[in-house]
Amino acid sequence: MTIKESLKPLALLTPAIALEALLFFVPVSLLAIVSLTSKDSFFFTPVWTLSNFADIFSPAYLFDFEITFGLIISAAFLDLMLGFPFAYIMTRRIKKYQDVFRAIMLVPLFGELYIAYGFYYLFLPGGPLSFLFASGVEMFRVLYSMPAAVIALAIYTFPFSVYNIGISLQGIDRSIEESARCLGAGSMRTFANVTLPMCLPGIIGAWLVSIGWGLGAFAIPTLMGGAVVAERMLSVEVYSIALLRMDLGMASAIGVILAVIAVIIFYISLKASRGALI
Amino acid sequence: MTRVLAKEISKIYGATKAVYRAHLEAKDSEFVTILGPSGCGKSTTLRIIAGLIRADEGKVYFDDKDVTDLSPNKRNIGFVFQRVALFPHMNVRKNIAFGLKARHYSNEEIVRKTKEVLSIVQMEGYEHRAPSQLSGGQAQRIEIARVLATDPDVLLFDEPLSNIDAKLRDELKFEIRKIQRETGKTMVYVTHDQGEAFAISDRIYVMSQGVVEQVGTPTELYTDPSTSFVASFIGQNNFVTGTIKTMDRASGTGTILAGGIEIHTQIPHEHASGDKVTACIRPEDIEILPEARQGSKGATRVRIVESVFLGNTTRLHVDANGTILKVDLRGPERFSYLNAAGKDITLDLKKCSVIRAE
Amino acid sequence: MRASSSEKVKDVVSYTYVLLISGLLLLPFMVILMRSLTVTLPDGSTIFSIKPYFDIIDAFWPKVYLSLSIAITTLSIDTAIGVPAAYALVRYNFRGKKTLFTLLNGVWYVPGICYALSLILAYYFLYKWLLGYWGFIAAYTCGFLLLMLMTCIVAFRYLDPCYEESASCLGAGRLTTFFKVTLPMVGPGVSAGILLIFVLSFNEFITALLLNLVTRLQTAPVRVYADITRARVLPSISAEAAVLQLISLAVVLLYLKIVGTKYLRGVILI
Repeated sequence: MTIKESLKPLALLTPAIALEALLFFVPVSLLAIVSLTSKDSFFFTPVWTLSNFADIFSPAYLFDFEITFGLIISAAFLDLMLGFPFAYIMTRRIKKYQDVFRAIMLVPLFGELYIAYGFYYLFLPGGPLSFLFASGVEMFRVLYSMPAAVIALAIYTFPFSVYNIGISLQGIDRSIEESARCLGAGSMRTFANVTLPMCLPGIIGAWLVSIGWGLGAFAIPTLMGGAVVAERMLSVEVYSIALLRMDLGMASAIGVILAVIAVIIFYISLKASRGALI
Repeated sequence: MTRVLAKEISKIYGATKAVYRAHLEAKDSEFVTILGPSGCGKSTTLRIIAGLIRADEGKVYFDDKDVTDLSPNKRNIGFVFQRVALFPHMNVRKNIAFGLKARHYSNEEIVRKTKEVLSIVQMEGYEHRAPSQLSGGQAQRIEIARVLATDPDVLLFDEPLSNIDAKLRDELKFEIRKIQRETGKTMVYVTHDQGEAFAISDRIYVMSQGVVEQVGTPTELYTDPSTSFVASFIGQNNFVTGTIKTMDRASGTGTILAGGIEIHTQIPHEHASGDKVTACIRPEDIEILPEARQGSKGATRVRIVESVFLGNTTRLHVDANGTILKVDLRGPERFSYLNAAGKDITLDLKKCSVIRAE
Repeated sequence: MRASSSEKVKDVVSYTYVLLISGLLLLPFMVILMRSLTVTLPDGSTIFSIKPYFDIIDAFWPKVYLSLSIAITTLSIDTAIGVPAAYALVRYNFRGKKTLFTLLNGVWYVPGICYALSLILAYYFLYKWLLGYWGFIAAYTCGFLLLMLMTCIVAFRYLDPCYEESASCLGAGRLTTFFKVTLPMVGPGVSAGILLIFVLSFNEFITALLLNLVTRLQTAPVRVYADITRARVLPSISAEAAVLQLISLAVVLLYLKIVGTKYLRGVILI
């Protein structure tokens, strides 16, 4: 294309590019810059340092990483366990009400806060599920515990995970499975040796996607999981360190780390899913 | 009423030559068809003429006007696509009016023109239908009406009948021809269907792999293919490759020796004794000689290997000294050879076209 | 077709499973709804009542109005920016297109809190004039542009170029073609983007929370969060959350009723 001809699409794209440049690339770059300053020095005269990152990679933050990724990865596995049968049924067995279920899948997308709040209420001592527990103390422990948070987080990231698995399942040529059956393999064997390996990249992609979105969870760790999770979850720490301790440098540094991890995870999951479709 | 000239146009995508140095001319009110298999570049050529694709080389002229750099909306053309492109959110009337409105026709003129074109395609009364309510054939007729409404200089039809049922296709192609004759508009038509092209074209350009192989009237292409592609694409052919043994310039005849066969036939002047050539013999042009003429000049003795009854034809596969030939028998004669495998017969192979061996 | 009993059993199991999971997904929302409809009387008993909704009108409605206003402004700007951009990405081929598209995708993959913090920094230190209503708009239009891009790209891909080419051959210029042919045909696809952006920006919480701290503006979801951390689980707070959910649900259902899920496929989730 000549230069003149490429002006047309460029003109159409300019507002979008400008918007993203000014309101995404600039802020994120600023975040990276601030992460290299010490505490709140950016407000005044920046004191440049790498100590924020040194701290993050030191044993001091090890526990935070454990809690954060423990929660997120557990939720991701739960998503796989619940989501794979769901996706399989949706793509293979259920033809009639697909649209209804698809609509239901939209719901957790916008409602992290409501998921957190709803579960919060559900597990509250004296609340609707209190008859399941012997004492209020026991309930308290359940509410403010990892398992409750894991379930809530799993629900939040469920749609993303199922979508990925569904796509890779749909990408599997049914005639390959049918050939296996014709050759004498039973359903179980076909599934284990033919279907599963073919959608494995998609499953891995889905698992990674759950983790990626889980990194952005905020309301759920705050409201559930107790003091331990709320204080040690990396995404919440970005908030609390920045605004309660005014330590912009450290908060930005954690933000940068989280962003980098998330982008890498999503990148790998994209590559993994594409492999499934070939 | 306009002459179309596509002069030496090329379109290259990366390493693929979609169209290469194609030269196409359509005279005033002529019906010209570009014929070829998929991927041969015929649609690309048409789109270049329309202005939908920009050629890498070459020029396009309408009469004496260079339209190469004009966008389609400035060329005053009527383009009909393979897939029906009626705007689904407009009814028939609005679809037809679209082009007229774009050219600033007045409302009265639009109404008049709409009636006029609908009657040409025999779809009066369909003004208020939605495209989704039309069958494939009806939709294509409205499509034709829509392009006629703007009174284009040139009609460009890109395989318009490919998605239509076979029976309707037969009817519609003659209707298209009729409309073209009556309106007198120059037509460049694209198809992969040889029968369709033969039925309605004045001249045909045969294309393969981006290159024009041959241009001519249907008869010329059939009786005188100039390349092996054309010889095999148009109708059926037996290909026998050999050398010219003798040539008599005065009468234009000669002998070709190929494998174990000797063929006596007309040989074009551009060939000489000793040249390597391919004789293209159509199965239906091979005559079976009575036993009495076994030894005569040009008679070839063959053995029938297989006989297949196809209804209106009996096809014989014969072995001519190692070369297998197909022979088609039509008429009452075909019943005489139904179980003839193993029989020896004599053939006259003189009706063939001779092309340079490739 | 053998409608054997094993097939039927499989069907029952399948439907049951899907329904159970769907129930699980919807559980938190149902819980909130139910809580919002209970009122504890002085004598300790509880009854169904919609009183909590009336209690919150004065304080909460302005927040809802603000959230609605922000959502509608955001989706309008995103539509105006996103539709041409998607058109350019689908109908033209130019160098660097793939890289550009990947870069535009970036926003979506950065965790919400990181992006929110970066915006606060940018607003505070660079774009001081955005510390207010327009700061919300700026943040949301950028953050959700991708949704509009994706749905429009799907819509434009669905759209066979032969319609636009046809219009051109009939004599229409680029603008006429775009407004009379392309846009009407791609409308439903664009509307999918409008739906997603509305629902997501209306309920957006993390960025709004941070912006609340540097501006005085409190959107509805932030109000709900603040109330939860202050007063825990009261029917009135549940009513607030329920109102937001019901508005979102109503919009989603309305859209699905009119357009269906066709244009949401292949975008993000379904």
